[in-house]
Amino acid sequence: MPATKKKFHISRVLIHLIFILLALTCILPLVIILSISLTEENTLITYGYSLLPKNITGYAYSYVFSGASSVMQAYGVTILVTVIGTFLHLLTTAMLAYALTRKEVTARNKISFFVFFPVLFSGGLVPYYMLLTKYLHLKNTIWALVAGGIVSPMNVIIMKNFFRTIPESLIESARIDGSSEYRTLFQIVMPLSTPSIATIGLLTAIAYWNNWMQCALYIETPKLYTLQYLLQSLMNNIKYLQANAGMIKGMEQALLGLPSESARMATCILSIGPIILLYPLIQKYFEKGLTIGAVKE
Amino acid sequence: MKKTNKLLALLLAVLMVMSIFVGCTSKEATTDTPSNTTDTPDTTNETAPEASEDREFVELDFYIMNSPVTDQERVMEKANAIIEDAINAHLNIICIDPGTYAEKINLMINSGEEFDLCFMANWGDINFFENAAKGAFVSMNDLLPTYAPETYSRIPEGLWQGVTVNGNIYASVNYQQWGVAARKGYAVRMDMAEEVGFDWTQLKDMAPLDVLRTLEPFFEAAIAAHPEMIGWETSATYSFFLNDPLYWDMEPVGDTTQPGWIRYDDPTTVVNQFETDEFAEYCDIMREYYLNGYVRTDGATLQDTSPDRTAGRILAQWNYSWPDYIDYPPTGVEELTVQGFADANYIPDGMSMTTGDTCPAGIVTSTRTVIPAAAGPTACVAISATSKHPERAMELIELLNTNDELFNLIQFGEEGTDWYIDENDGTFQMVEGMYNFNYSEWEIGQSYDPDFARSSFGLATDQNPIDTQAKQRIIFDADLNADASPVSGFEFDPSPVKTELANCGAIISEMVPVLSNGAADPATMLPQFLQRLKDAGVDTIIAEKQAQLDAWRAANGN
Repeated sequence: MPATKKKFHISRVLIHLIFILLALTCILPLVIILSISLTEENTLITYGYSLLPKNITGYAYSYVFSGASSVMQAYGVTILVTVIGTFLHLLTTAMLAYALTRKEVTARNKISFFVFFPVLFSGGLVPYYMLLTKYLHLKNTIWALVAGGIVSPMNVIIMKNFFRTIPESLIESARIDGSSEYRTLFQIVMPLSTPSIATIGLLTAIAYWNNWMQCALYIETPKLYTLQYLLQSLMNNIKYLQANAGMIKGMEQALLGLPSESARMATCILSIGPIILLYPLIQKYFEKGLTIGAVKE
Repeated sequence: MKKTNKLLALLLAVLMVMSIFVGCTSKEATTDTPSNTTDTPDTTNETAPEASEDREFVELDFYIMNSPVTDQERVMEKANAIIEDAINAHLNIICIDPGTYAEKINLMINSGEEFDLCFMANWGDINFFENAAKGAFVSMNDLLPTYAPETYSRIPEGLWQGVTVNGNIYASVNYQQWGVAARKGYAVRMDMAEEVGFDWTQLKDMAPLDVLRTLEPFFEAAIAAHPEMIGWETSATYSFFLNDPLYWDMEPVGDTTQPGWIRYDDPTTVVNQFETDEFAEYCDIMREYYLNGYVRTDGATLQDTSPDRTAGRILAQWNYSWPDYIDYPPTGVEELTVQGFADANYIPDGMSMTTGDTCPAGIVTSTRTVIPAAAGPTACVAISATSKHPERAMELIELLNTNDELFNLIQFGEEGTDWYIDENDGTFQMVEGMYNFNYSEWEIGQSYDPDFARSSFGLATDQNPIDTQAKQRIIFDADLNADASPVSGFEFDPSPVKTELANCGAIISEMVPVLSNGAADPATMLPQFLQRLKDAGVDTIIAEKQAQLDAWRAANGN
């Protein structure tokens, strides 16, 4: 920036103030959660929540990492599912989208319709559940967690539009030089599409990382629980048991066995985990990726 | 151009709306599947009993609502040895987290998935009646007397009627060690009450509004002395009025939180419970509590009260245990004071989620004794219509209900490894960090046993459990003799007023937490609440409930 000093203006102060406030509303809850997770349970009960922990203890974290909780296992499952899922998602999306942009594919309009139709009409949960459990027999396997997000019509549309921006002549000349269709896709088209791949990859990875519904429906052994499901059920169980505690005397006792407040918050912090590191890595592609699909030629 | 855009948008909107309907119909279409499959078990019913000798080994899947259980494999291996000896089967208990159980089990039923047994209930969206009416479960009319005679004969007849739909028993009732007859009351922090000179025994048999008024001076004095204490527990999930009609001498017709209750004194008239004088005065009192600082200020949004409870911050609360210290004086205790209990070396009950040595509770009961209408399906086990082995599943139910060794193994683990009886004081102790069924044994079978061999207090040998057993006998007597709820056996069909119920439900879940925690001034908010209910069609609901109740009474000759 040149050294021309910008004029002080009341509107600038106001704008900054608004954004500072907005940023605070995002950051403060996180700080409080972090503080709770580091506070001793008894202090928490007597003094309530505070922005800075009164006496710091790592007990909640050591509890979470100990055998009594299955957080580490869930971490492994979640990372595996995210990596496999994102990879498969990008692969199928890219291949499908590429095929749909090629004029040589004669049935591409019919296939396009087949891809986009479910965006408007979905079968609903029950048929979906039946397909996965009765016909594909994926219940209680790690593939049930992956299968749900392997392809998304919206991402196919975005990817397809991006592929259209790659000059036709480039692909033609590759073919003249003897490149096979797969080679053209993976060595010429894909490297040119890094912004769209990074954007879709990031969104997919986050979706896989945060998905707990799939786990709630298809997984029955605690060994395959994902991190988000673990967290979600920690919070949900407490609410559900309390709301129905009057129904059965045993339920109040069941409440006692649940982890403490600080342990829950520690799990919460841990679940943010590595996914947050993805942002800075992909950021440079991201900016460009945002306009993907916005302009069509 | 502009016009076509508008047309496109309209088309899109229509498509979206249609897709919603498509979603609905496909769901309804699939719900038919279970009813088709019900035919299969019926036919096997007739052929199976002959083939009982040297039968094949089967695996039975039993879905329950439970958090993950540590060391489940080890204990289930032992349990399956017993089951294999008895009925040549293995039991596979599948624990689904409480937060997702209702959704999951309903999805499994709707998709016609194959499983054998499941825990069922009439609360928390588990929808026993809806699923039973749909044909999701095997009728037990013939199975029960043949394969589970003791389970069948041990339970009071009225409870079986509670799980009967269209003449068929669709679930085995899990009759519990604590019985079904209910009488509710209050727990008051005994040591704090003594400190400020409050006599908690005066709450005995008092009406709820009087109780709340009588407690006021106690709260004032105790909170002045101990500012960290909370007088009365409030939360967004539980309202002392709406969730506990028995205190108010009323009984819900249909779901508890729906508008439309009856009074025990006038069981033929359905009333809107929010228009009663009791609710108005209750809101006034809670407002006073709120202004005087006897309740948490964030009660209207508070989801989790367990930290307050475990910390022992509650001065008085509702309590469901009976007989109380007045009905059945604890053995050896001469005076119902902290000192009196200490002299007799007797540990009194604690406040909720605490123990009696740190937070002793004075317990009094105040309501009438009734067998609630919904007692049968509160906890029961159903056999899925998709099960390939309904007879063996029924035999498993009988085995779980009658074999104490098996039941205790599943609920407590192995003696010596997971639990032990303390040699010094004869108390029952669980080993920390070992097998723990998360106190969910009431889902898999009857924890009731005439000799209390299936409860921790039956296994323990110290003084308190003996009193507990004596008290339980009083309850079991009441189960046979107490008045059943006037609407026992009546099942409200919500379908004619579905829209009104949904609209009122939304208003109720928005307004009741605010009113019953005193966060808003009832002088303005209560009339507003009632008016909004009226606009949402509350009177239609009441009229429909009244009509169905009248029809049911006429059909049953009373």
